[in-house]
Amino acid sequence: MALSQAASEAGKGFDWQVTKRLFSYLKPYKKNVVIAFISMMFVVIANIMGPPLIGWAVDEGIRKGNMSLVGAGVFGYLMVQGLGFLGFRIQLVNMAYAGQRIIEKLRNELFEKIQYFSMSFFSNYETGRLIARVISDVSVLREAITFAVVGTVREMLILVGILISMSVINLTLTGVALVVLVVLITIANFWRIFARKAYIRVRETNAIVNAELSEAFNGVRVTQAFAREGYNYDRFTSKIDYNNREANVAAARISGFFFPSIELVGGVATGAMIYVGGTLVLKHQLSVFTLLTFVLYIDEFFFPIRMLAQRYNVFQAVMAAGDKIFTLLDTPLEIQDAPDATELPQIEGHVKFENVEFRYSDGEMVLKGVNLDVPAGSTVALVGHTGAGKSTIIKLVTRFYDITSGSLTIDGHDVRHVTQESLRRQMGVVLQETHLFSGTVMENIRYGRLDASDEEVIDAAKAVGAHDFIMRLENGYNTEVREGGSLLSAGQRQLLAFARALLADPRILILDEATSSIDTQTEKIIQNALERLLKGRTSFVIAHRLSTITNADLIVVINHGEIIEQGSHEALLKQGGAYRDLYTMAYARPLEDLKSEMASEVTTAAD
Amino acid sequence: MSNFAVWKRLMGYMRPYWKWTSIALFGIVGGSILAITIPSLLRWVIDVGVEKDDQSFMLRAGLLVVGLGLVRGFTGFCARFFGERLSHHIAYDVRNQLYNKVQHLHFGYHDKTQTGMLITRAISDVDEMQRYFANGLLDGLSTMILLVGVVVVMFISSPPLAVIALLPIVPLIFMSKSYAERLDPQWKKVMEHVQNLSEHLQQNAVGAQVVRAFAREKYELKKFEEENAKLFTDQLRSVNLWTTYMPISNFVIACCVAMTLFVGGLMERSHVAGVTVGMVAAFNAYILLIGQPVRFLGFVILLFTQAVTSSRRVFEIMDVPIEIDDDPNAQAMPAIQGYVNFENVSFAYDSEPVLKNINIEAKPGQVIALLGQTGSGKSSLINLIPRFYDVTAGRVTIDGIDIRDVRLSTLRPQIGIVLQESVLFSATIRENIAYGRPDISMDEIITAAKAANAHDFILEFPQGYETEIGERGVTLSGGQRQRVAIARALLVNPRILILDDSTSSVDTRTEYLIQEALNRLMEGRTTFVIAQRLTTVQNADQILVLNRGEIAERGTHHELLAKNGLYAEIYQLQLADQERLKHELMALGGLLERDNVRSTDKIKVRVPQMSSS
Repeated sequence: MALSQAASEAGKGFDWQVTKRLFSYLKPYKKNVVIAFISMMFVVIANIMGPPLIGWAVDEGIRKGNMSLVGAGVFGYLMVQGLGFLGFRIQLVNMAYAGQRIIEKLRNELFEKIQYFSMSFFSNYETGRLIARVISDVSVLREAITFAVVGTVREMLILVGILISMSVINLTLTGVALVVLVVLITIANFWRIFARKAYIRVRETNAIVNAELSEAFNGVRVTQAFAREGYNYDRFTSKIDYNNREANVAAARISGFFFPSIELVGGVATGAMIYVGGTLVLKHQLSVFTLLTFVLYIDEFFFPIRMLAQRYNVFQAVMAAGDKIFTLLDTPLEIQDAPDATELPQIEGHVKFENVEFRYSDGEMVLKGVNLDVPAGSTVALVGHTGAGKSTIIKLVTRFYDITSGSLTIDGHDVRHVTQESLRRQMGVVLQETHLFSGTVMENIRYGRLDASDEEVIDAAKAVGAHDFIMRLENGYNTEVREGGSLLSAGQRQLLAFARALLADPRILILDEATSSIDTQTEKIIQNALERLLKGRTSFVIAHRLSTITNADLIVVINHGEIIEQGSHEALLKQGGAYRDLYTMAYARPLEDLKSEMASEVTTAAD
Repeated sequence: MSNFAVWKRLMGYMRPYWKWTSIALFGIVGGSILAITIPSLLRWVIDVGVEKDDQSFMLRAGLLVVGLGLVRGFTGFCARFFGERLSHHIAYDVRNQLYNKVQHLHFGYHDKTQTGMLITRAISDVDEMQRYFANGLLDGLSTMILLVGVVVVMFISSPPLAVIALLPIVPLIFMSKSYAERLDPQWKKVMEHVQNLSEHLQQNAVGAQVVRAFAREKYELKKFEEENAKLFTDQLRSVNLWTTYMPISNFVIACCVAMTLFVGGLMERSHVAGVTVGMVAAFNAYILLIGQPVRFLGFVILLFTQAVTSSRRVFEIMDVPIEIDDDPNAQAMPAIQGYVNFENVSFAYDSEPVLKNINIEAKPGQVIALLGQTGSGKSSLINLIPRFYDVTAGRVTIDGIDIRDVRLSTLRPQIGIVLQESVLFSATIRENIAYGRPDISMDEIITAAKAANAHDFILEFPQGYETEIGERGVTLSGGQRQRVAIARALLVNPRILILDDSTSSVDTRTEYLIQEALNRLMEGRTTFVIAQRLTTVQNADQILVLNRGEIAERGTHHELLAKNGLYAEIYQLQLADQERLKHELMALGGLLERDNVRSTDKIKVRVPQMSSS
């Protein structure tokens, strides 16, 4: 189920491979990172230097009435803070820049990868999940790069800095602080185990919510047609969305206990400090001032620890996101250009199958012993039952699949030895279901040849008989086609697809005919359009239309992955084999009706 | 809607959770007050302890501090846990509301809306709202409370020093304002680009085959990269805004400290306004205390801007009026017998007239075939029956009841629909067939699948009825999908059936199986069918030929042929093909009659053989 699939992507804990790879993306921005780290040092210095400077100004200046010392202290303080301000800004700007650049690059890489996946990829990877990968997961990385990388180092530095300055002042009290630190690390480790599980659950339930939203919104028409809104709503609120909420609240509960427990430890630490330090003060082994400094330091000591613990969630999310992104990027492509692939030169369109065999990757045989010689410019009609292998043949010609053995050549060039782009550029494919992109009618037709002028687009539309209905649309060629073209009928969409293919003017045309979704008058237009489209090109047609079949130069009958008959319409009818069976089955009933019809017509006429 | 109005509405979601909100607020404010008082308390404790020279006092003081830590932990828990809890409950409420709304929005809305946009809003925008409740809002409130508290304390102890100490904050307030104003449009742009990216991706994935067929991968990538570059630029701009603002607010706090020390020191020395050393030190501590919240103000503004932008996008959908909805007085539709009447119906889409003066009377069990050119209004006509769209004038009645007077939830389940493209869900085949009646028994599902000629191919899958199918049912062929859709319609056993272009794009044998299934489906039901095949049309009880939104001709096949009008013309078109076929078959030696019988028999025998292979 899609949902369980979505859930399995929730990811794991720390992953060194993912971390290394993420850091490799930082490489081109080395300069930015170095600058950011240097400027971060100023922030650290400002943090550490600030309190002593103020303390000095108060103690030495104001208390002693020495205004020049106050002035010097204040000036120094402002200088340090000013540098801190600049440092902070430079750090943020550089890291934000690197972060933005990296996510831009990752998104482009992902999108590019998606372009080269074969169609089977899309059957297991829903659009909703793709969007999650490219949009949300990549965003997670951005936050991490902008804040977490430098932030973590900064906090560690501050922690070490405080420890060092403590140990310079008093070793006993530093010992107390170290004990506290160990306790804190233990608690944090313990918490991590719980937190990890909780956040994995959060991500799982998130993925499920997203998958459900995407499905529900895509299928909303069916939902309404079956009046299932109530059922779906109950399912969503009582299970899918509810689980997500509860997972989030559970995670919040764990954090809700952890962070306050740090405060508590902080209290214990300060209490211990007062008792131990206070006793030392009474024994005159420690000055009151030193004790006070330590007590105040303790508080600052906890801030970076709290931040570091908080970052743990971020890093965990980064790992999960990174893992998913890289898995997608590393998915092997089924069809790739050969390393020495050449450009396919301008072709005539002579297609030749020699002993072609094709199996799916699981070994299932789809085509065997296919021999087919299609001279340039001829039309081949592929006929056979569902699953016989017709669509596989056209997918081999377009190289959506690679043949398992045998050879498949176009004008003598093996299709596996030419680049896919140069091959497909010379091919036109019209599918059963016409997909239109959102954009204008004009843009959709122009998809066939991007540099076509408006006139050329209109000519193509006229040639296939689409011009009239386009002109009847609200804004003619500039009418916006909505998602999936839902404002146009199936017949209109198909005419647009024809225009698109005609504009591309391919040498080889692949056509998966969709006949019956079109009414009779449009049918007439489409038949004329088809004639135009097929003329002078090598065409492979998965044919449903009688006229297409009978007009074809070559009819190929496929059964169980083998060509069982091939020849012209007349020849095959005479042969009296499978073709004739198919042929009579398809048209026998209408014909009988027709005969009785004609008989009654004769009677009516006679009346 | 102004930003403030949007924000107020967003706040409305807190109402049911006012208890949690109060607890969280208590936690935050309490925690902040503790944070303010603890350092001075510590000073005092140490001073007193040293003065008393009493070790047991030190122990008690230590324990007191531990106790304070406990209280601080408690307030921290209240703030954190209840804040988060509140935010996730609100996100849940908003998401449910949005889900429900989208499910009920009329077809006309969905015709014009990108699904990708709806998904982004339900996911990312709701997340943004949640984040605001978890972080921005409560922190913003506590910042305000703290700020006001400290300012009041400062003014009470020394008004002149307070004015001086807080002077640098004045420009910060104006800066915050301009920062917020500039961030707002910038962030909107960013969100728009993100939405464009997801939409582009969605389109690209759905149209993947076309992209490959025309070798347009590079073109698609270029378009994506362009949009992505725009996102980069705008996002960097918004980043630049806050990377300027936030460090500056840090610096402003430093300026406050500097002013207090220097001017305060001068005042103390010249004994102006009773300023003492202790006072300067105390003011200094106050400023450092409000330093953190003031620094946080930038974040609060950022989160506020994001939340308002996202809320506006979410509310936008929530506020779309549902055009097709139950009338307040709507009744339940009684069990339908199957009379469907169109009385003078007109229908306009976007004020473009689509149907004009349609009158139809369909009796139970009749088949009404609709013919007409692409765009003549056939689809619109059948979409009026389940009330996917409302008539502009006239009325549609079922069993004499105006369909606008009954509840949709009682009307639509009694109408079976096989739409043009069979949309299936990524669930098992069983769940897909049972879509209209989720709680039905397996036996009934199998019966429906058998009647739809789907049983055999379903069993060919290793998991049979439990086979999962992808989002758009890609793993099933068109013909298989259609038969699942037919089984789905059969299962609800509707009295009225609507078939829209349902016999599409399949090979001869599948076509035959589908036709057979459809014939079974149509039996005994009032059927409206957009028919392509003359056989379906010929057997129809009424044939309606539509032309530009009007019924141009009506009658039975015979009547219409005799009329020699539009129908006869359409008929001729198909006839020509079949004439030719007849001659060809005749030429084969007059075997027509015998062969037909034989080949049909053969096929019937062959069907199970082929499907088991």
